[in-house]
Amino acid sequence: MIFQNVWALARKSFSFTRTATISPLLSVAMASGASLLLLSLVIGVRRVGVGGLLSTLPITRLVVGPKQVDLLFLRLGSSTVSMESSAIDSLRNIDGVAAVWPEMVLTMPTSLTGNLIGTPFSTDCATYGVPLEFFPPEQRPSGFSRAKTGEPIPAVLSLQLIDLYNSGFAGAQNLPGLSPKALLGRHFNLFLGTSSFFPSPPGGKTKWVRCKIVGLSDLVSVTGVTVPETYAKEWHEWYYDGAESPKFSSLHVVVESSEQVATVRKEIEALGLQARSPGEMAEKVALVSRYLSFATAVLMGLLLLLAGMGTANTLGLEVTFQAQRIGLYRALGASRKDVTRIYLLRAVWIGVSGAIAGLIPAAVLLLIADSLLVRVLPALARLPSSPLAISPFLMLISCVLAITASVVAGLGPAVKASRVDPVVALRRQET
Amino acid sequence: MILSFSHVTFSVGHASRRRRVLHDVSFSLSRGEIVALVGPSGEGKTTVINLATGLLTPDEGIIDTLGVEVSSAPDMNVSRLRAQRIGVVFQSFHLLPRESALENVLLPAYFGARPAYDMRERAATLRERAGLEGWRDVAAIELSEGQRQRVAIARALLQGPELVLADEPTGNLDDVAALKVLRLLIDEVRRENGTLLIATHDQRCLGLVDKTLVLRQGRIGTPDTPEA
Ligand SMILES: Nc1ncnc2c1ncn2[C@@H]1O[C@H](COP(=O)(O)OP(=O)(O)OP(=O)(O)O)[C@@H](O)[C@H]1O
Ligand SMILES: [Mg+2]
Repeated sequence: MIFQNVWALARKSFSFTRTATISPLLSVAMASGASLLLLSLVIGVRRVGVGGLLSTLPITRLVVGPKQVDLLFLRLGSSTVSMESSAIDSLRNIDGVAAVWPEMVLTMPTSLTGNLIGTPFSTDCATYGVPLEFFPPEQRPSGFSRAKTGEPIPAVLSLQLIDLYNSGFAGAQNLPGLSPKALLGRHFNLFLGTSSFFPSPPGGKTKWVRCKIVGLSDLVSVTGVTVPETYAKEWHEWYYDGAESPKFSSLHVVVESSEQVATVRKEIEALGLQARSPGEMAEKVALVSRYLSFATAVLMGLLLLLAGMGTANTLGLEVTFQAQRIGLYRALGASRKDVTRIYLLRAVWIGVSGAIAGLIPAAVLLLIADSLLVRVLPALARLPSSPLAISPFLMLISCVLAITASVVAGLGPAVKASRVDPVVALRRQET
Repeated sequence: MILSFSHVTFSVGHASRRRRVLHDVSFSLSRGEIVALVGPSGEGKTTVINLATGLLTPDEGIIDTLGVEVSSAPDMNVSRLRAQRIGVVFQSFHLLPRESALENVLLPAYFGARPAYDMRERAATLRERAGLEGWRDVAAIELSEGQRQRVAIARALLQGPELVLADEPTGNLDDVAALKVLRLLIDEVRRENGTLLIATHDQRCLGLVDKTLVLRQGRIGTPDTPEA
């Protein structure tokens, strides 16, 4: 039997069962459509999480702070939890520690005023000082060093701060979001010795300096302004007249190799300090993404199973109802293989039309969802331009999976059809 | 030799309910012969036809149809034989009830080696020769019994078969209709140089055939020697 005839006969036989075909078509459409949505979502999440966020995290870096440092957001003004400089030396002595870069925190009240894209702006803040080496070589902001006299002081802001501003404040106030690029090069005034929470006492020391944003970083504290360490030390001296030793909010420990991270971390904790690792976050994100992938696989498996069951069920019924027709085909010269081919073609047909029927709405939905997500999530400065993974390859994969499920499910009924005994089938009812 | 049965035995049913239908049946048909296989109802005429087309397998004996040993050849070969070289008029027509006469006549072409569409013209010609030119778009189920029988004959002839097996082609038709159907069948087979076996219990056939085989109590004889 040539293919053209198999096809013609398949169409002829099945025109009688068109309505019965709707349910397997729907289940295959569900499988292909949902597979596409799930795959695009999971791969999108992986790309954002693993590719986007994690790749920027230095795995060999530990952030060391005092035990209760999780009160991060309360570290405003002088109520800062901090460590003495002796901690730096104890950390340097640990085996496997390549370097310790301190993040000094000013214990005097500080605040800033500026002009953010036309909006005057004033807030209390914390002020930190770090050496240039605090930033890994590839992330060092240019110009983060002592400025010439009369030039503004270079400052780095937290990248997370922009996310927070965009998703919280700007969203609520209907203000335009900030992009890291738009902030670079902007100036603001930093007030030392005074803030709205802790106004300077009568006769207290105050002064202001002009700053310029030279960079945005994931590594600096989210609550304030980070300037080169030399300025922080200078201002500390000026405010306390050398009566207070500098305090450190965190110490960034660079470990020699990633294998040593765990042991170094244990030793740090033995010192009564707390070590957080960006790698830990990486692991969490990876775990979530792995869990998501697994859940998706299970869900897709179930959907494909349902699609297969739909096809198998309908084809099984067709074979039962069409036993006489099959018997007649056999008596007129169809071989067992021919009959199998007719019904397999039927399964292919259900698979292909179902898969396409599911794919089109899913793809449309995906594009809409993606454009909505792009609009809702501009706050996250590090997201890729399209948060969902939209690719013809994924569409092909979901189609192929749905079609395969349908065809595999069609094998049973097709074989059953080929086993119809023509003599028995034709005796059953005499037309 | 177009068809030969040698020492064919066939039983139906299982185990204790097993019953022998054919005992040591031997006969043969030569090219161009028009033969009647007569015998009372239930003697096994339909069974003989099903054995000849390979739809049934004998317990014992050898069946050679157009040079193919149908009882042992692979399904592919036997199917091809049925599709291209044998035409069968089934006892109860077995038309596709909701399809037109033309589609029914065309059906065997789907199992051939060429696109079925190529055979439409021949199917139309055969349908017309069968006296159904005015019944183009009528579903088979709406045709009269005689008309249905003629559609079935046209279908059996579609592929220009070398062997035509007709099972009770006169069915319960009246004299006029029965004669018309028989004439059609015999004329068409002759026209195509085919060989014809008519299984029937209808005495009206006997005058039109070259040879008569009698099936009685599961054995084959001739009218002169009933107990072979
Ligand atoms: N599949 C089957 N199961 C059980 N018995 C069968 C089967 N096929 C045939 N038979 C029996 O075989 C015998 C012969 O049947 P067959 O149909 O060949 O007779 P027939 O000569 O064609 O009769 P009729 O003239 O009524 O058509 C019958 O007794 C029938 O009961
Ligand atoms: Mg019969």
